[in-house]
Amino acid sequence: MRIFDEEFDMRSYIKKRLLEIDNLESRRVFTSVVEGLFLELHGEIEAEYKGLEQRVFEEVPMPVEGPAIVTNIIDRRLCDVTDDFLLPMRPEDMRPHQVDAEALLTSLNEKSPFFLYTVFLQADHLEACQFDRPERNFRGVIKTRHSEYTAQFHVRRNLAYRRQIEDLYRIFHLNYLPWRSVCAPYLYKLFDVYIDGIENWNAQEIIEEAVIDFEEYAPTIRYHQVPLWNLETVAIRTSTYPEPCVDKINYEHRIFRHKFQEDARYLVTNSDVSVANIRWTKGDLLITCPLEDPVTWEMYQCNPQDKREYSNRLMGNAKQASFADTLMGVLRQPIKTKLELSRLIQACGYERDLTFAGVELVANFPDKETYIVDDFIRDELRTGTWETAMRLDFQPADYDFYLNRDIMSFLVSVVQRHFPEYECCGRLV
Amino acid sequence: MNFIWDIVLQAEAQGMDKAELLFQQAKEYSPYCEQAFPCINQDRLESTVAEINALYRFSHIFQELLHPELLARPENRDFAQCAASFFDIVVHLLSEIDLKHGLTKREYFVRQLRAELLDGVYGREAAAAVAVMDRKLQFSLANELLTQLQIGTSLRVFRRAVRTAFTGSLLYQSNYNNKELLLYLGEKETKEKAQILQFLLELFLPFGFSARLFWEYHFGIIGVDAAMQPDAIALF
Repeated sequence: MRIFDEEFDMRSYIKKRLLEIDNLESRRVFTSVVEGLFLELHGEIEAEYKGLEQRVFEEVPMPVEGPAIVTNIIDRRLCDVTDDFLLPMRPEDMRPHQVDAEALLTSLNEKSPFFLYTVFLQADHLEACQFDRPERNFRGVIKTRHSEYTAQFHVRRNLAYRRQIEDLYRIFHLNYLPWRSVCAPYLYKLFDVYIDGIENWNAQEIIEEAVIDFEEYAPTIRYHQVPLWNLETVAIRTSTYPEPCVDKINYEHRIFRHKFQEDARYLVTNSDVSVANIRWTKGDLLITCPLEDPVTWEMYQCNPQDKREYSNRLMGNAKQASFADTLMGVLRQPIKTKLELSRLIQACGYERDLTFAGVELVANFPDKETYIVDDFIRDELRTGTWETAMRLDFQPADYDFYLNRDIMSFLVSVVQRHFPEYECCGRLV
Repeated sequence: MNFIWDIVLQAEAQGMDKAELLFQQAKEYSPYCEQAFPCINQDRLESTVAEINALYRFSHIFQELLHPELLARPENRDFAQCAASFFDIVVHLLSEIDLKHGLTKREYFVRQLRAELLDGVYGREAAAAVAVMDRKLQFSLANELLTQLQIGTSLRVFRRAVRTAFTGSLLYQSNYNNKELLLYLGEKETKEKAQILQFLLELFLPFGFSARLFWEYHFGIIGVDAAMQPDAIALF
C-alpha cells in the first residue's frame, strides 16, 4: 500500500480537461504543452517525493539481528545430498546405521543400556511427553543372520541435536548478535532407543535388524529420519596477512567478500580463539583477535530461505519484516497491550496455523501444554519461581496437526523473552 | 477559505472530488487576497468553479499567462480555452504542493503505520476495524500508535485515543480499584462503533486494566444534574 494514497491523478484529470476544449487549435496546443512539458514536470516532482520517502525510511536505524534458522526433517532415502539449502545437522546421519557388536556385548555384560538408533515420533507434544516416561519398556525382536532373539528396549529423549541449537546461542554471542529463539519442533520428537537386555544372546552374531513393538505408538514412529538445517559448515582462511591493531595486542584478520556467497550470512564458530571483534565492512569480514598469523576460520554459512519443496514442512524463525517491528526494535518500549503482543506473535509467521486468541494473567497454570525453546538460557533474570503466569490462548487452524503445540511453544518462548516477570504458557482453545 | 489549499480542503469536506474543481483567474479581485469569492468570509463552495487571484502568491509564475494583452493579440485569439485549462491544471499542481506542507519524518512514520494497520500487520480484526474508520481518525490513531511505540503504553495515550475516536466520551477511574475504568461513550452502540472501541481497548489499554462501557446513557452521579435525567440513567 502506498502511504500517500490521496494522490491527485493528474494524468486522467488532464484528459478530462482536454475533452472540454472544443477549439481544435487550442486543443492541439494544450496537448503539446501539457503532455510534452507539464506532465513531465509533474512526474519529476512525484519522483522526488518518492525518493524522499525512500530516504526517510532508509534512515531509520535497523535493529541488529542474527540470521534466521530453518529446520526440517527428512527420510534418509529421500535426502538429496546435492541440496545447497538444507543440510543434515550431523553429516554422519547420512550413513546407514551399523551396530557395533563388541560394544553391544560389553554394555550387555555391564548391564548398561546400549544405544541402538534414533527414531522420530510423529505425534503431538503431549503424546511425546507420555512416550518419554522413564518406566515404560518395549519388547522387540533382534534378528541376526541365523536366528531371532527377544529383547527389551526403552527410549529416552535425544538431546544431541538440541545441544547443537544450544551451541548456536554461544555462536550468536560470539558474533555479537542478540539471540533469536529457534523454531525446531522436529528436534523435540527424536528419541534414542536403547537395548536393555537380550534373552539367550549369542555374542558372536551380528545384528541385522531390530524390530521393536512400540505398541500404541507404532503408527507414529518413523525410522531413518535425518534432521536438517540451513547451516553449512565452511572453513575460510584469512585472505591477507593480518594487520596489527592500535591496542598492540590484537590483529585484524580480513576475509575478502568474494570468498562468501552473496546472499548468505556467516557466523564465526571458532571456540579456540579469543575474538575481540567481528565486523563486516563492504562485504569483507574483519575479525580482531590476538593471533598474528593467518587462521583458518570455521564458520556456519546460513543459507537464505529457498522456495524448494520438502516432504515435511520447513520450520523457521524468520520474522516478517514490518515498519512497526523495526520501530519496536529501535525504540525498545515494553509491550503492554494485547494488539502489540498479537503483532509480535504474528510477525513470527505462523498465523496460518495458530491464531492468537487472547491473553490472561492467572495465578498458576497446571498441566502445561508448552515448553520454552530457550530453556538452556540460564543467565536470565528469570528466577524460575513466578507468582503469576501469563496464559496465551491460540486457536489452531487444524486441530489434528501434530506440530500445533510445538509451534505454540516457539511463540510462547518468543513472548517469554519479553516478559521475564511472568511465566508464559500456551493453551489451545 | 483564504488560499487554494483551503479551497481544496473545503471541497473535500463538502464531499466534492478534487477533479471536479475548476480554478479560474477572477475578473474582479482584491490584490491582497488569494481567494476571490464574492463574499470575503465565504465558508462554503457554491459551485465547482472557484475563482481565485493567482497573482497574490504566484505572480512570478502567472504574470505572462495572465497578462491582459496576451489573449488580446489577434494571433492568440484561438488559445483562450487552452490558456484557461492550462491555468487550471497548474493551480491544481500548486495546490497539491501546498498540501504537502508540513511533511515531516513523523508524518511519514504515521502514514506507514496506518498503511500497516490496514495491511493486517496487527491482525485481520484490527485491519477490519481501521478500515471502517474515516481517514482522519485512521491518521490520528496511527499517530497515537507511534506515540505509544516511542514512550510506551500509558493511560494517557489510551485516553487521548478514546477521546479522538469518541468525542463525547468521558473516562473515569474507579476510586476503589484503580485498575478499573468506567468509560462513557456518549453515543449509540453500532456494530462499527463497537468494532472501533474493541480495537482501541486492545491496542492502547495496558494489561490488567478493565473498562466498563456505558454507551448511550451515563451512570447517575448524585449532585450532577446532567447525569441524573430520568429515563437516561445507566445502572451501576
